[in-house]
Amino acid sequence: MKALIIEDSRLARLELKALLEAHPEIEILGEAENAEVAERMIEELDPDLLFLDINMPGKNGFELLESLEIAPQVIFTTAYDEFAIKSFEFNALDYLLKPIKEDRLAKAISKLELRSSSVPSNSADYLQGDQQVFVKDGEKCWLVKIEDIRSFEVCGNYSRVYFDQHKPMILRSLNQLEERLDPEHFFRANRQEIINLKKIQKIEPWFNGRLKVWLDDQREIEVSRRQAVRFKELLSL
Amino acid sequence: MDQGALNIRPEEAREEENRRFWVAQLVGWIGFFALALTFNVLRGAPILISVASAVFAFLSGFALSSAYRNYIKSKRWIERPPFQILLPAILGSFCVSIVWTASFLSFYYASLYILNEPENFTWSNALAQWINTFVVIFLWNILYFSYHFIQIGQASRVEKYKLEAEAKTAQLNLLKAQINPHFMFNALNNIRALTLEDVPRSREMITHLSDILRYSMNYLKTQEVELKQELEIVEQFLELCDIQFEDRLRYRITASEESLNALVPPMTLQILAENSVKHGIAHLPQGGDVIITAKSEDTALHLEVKNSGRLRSPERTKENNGIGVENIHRRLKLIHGDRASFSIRQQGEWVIASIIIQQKS
Repeated sequence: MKALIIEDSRLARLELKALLEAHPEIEILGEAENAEVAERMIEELDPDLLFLDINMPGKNGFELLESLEIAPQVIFTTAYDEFAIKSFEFNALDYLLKPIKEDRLAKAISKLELRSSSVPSNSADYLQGDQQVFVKDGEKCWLVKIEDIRSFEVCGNYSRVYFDQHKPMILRSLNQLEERLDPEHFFRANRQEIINLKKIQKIEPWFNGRLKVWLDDQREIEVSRRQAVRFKELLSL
Repeated sequence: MDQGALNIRPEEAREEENRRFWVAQLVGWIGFFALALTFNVLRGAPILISVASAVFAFLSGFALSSAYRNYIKSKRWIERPPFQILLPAILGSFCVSIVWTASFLSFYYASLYILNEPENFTWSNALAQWINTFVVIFLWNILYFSYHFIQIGQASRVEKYKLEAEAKTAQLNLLKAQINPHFMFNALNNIRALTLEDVPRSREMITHLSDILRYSMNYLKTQEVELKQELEIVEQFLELCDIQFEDRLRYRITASEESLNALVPPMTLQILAENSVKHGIAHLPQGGDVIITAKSEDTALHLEVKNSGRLRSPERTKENNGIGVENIHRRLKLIHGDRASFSIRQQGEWVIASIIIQQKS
């Protein structure tokens, strides 16, 4: 597994590298001392895993993740940050407190998903179902797999992301998202919404040539007349 | 301390007080009735008269003292200091006993008259009767007020303990606020790594960290320390920050010879240096400078902590370093009053905190 260490203190990086010597399955591709350098390295090296310090000069760890289109798996590191730690209580995102304990690190590594490293190159343009995006909403944050997202909804310059029982917002327009989502899995139902085809529970014809779709969270979404034609083609109804 | 005992709601406490009063009132007057009856019988009064006058004395005493209590409560006598109650209590006893004596004597002579055993009214008899009732009522007063003073004494002791506990907690909070956990854990983590590449330096850093921790734990015990002591701690602190920030932190401490023995509240420069690093250097990807200067001019000590960066807006200042800065303000005011001034301002690319203390001549 290819990893990147993002941490502003050189000694803290040295410490983490020393600890990771006990885990040969983690291959350290490089180290970044701030978010700016990290963004470049992520683009270039495409790591599977980030060891990410929350407190850094310039963009902090959360802001770095929010700026990434696709987030690799992440293990946060922090010396002490009550506020940040609170945001991890909502999901499985893992964090390590510095100084880091060997067994705690081992546990965090064992929880990582071993992702198939071969991404089919022909569809590399689109986001893959098992790729994840980082979403932060006030005190809470999540890493969400694309395939787990039910729908996206316009909200000004932002988009609201629906998954599980949550609906936080990300700073990306619906059009931007549409371009990056695989049209075989995600469909632009109307001006306001993009839906995940795998999350549809029921479809019924509606008046004026429109369609009504029920997602698996019981939410109703209308497919506009124009899109209904394409929708039927897509599903070969 | 038993928290449960302190948290009785006021209305519950009032009800409990009321209940106790009526029990004591009833028991006390029944006792009085028994005494009066015995006394009357021993005096050789006819049995009917003895019983009737004892019952009347019991009822009227009970009613009058209950009314008197309402009056005391409405005038809030028990909130006064004890010596200011003495006179009103004597006056009160006087009035109540006059009324009581009058009504008792009326009843007594009237019943004798009805029973056809008239007795002549004599002033000496009336006076004796009044002295008796006065003693009884005054005794009632003593019991009533001493009960309340014991209660108040207990409550104020409890209050005192509560205040002491609160002061302790406040002190603890102050202490907690001073050791920045972020700094401490980063330092420990860095020292742990330093042992991999420079053992002598890592050993030195552990002593620095211990010195800082000891100083920050003990500082509440002393009101003022010599500037050189404070500067030594600040220097050790900055050395520890240096292993975290390395090239990103540049610092300089300059102090004039004559300022070194001046007295300052401990942890003052330390808190300011900490803020400089935490809110200044830590946010600058390219790092910056921290410059600390101390000098004596005329009769004043000038201290300045200067760092690269931008002063945060008031709200953010409040939530981030408000406790530390507030603490410096308070202690300077406490020790030096108007002779000390403290300000933080933005000047160009610098955030400058300065303290001026006019020396006592």
